Amino acid sequence: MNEYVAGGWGATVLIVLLYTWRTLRRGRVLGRSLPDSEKTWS
Amino acid sequence: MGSVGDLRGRRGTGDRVTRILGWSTLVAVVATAWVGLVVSPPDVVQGDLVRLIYVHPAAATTCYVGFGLCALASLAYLWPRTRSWRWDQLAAASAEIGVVFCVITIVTGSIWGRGSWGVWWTWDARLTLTALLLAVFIGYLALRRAIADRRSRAMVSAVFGVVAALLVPIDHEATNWWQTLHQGNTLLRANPLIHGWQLVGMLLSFAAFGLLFSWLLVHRFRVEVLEDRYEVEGFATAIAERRAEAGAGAGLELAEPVVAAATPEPASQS
Repeated sequence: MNEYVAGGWGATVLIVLLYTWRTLRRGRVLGRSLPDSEKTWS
Repeated sequence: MGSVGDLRGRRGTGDRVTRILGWSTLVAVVATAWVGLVVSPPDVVQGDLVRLIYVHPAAATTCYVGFGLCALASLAYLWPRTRSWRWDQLAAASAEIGVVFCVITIVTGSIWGRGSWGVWWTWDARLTLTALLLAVFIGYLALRRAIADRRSRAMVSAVFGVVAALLVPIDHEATNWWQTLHQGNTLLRANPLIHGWQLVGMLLSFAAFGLLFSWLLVHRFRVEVLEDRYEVEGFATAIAERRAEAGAGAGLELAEPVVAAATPEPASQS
């Protein structure tokens, strides 16, 4: 595998992991901040 | 929109649906990496650089899907008969994920360009339009943060989202409409340009990115809903505190509920 392939795949994994971590963390913080009555939208 | 979840008793935005989607995504991503990096042979022309096609086209398509979904949800919000906060929240969530995949598209495309063309960037029609698409949707996200009033924000960003998404078909057709350095369609043609393991790898990458998009969208949409609830509840709490202060100052007891009045559905707006 050459350095361009490693760079492209590596950058993709890094960006996805960072965004996933940010999204899940925002969800957890908001989930802790809100009462259970506000956490349903059926 | 119908039921999308019940997170009572949970700490985050995950449930059984996201667990199934998450594990399916992981399996598809590992399969794509295995076929793309191990099984698939180097290309006779591009050599190992061809392994970037198991990331770049799927990322670009996912970015188009994100922006397209933003436009559809925005249209549903603008249409008075279907107007609901849910469409506004879905538009915001899908636009943000679209921006993430647009960044991946540009980064991987630039790396491929350096290896193949010898330059990181060139002002080719496809590249320029993709950069413009990214800039416009970053503007969309900035606009959403700039407008404090919820109804105005939803209305203005819905119009912006629909107009901005018009760039998607133009960007996609750029290689057909103009002379570009960027190659044309690989799959969407009478005789696809790739076969065998390369085709398998590319199709797997589309499945993996589609699942990843769906998994992220469920989480991000729920975050958007929780943020709106938090914003409304914070507003209601502030009003209640003000009323309590005013009541205490005037020697009055104010028992009027304020939370219920804070989030009417937007159907009555003109």
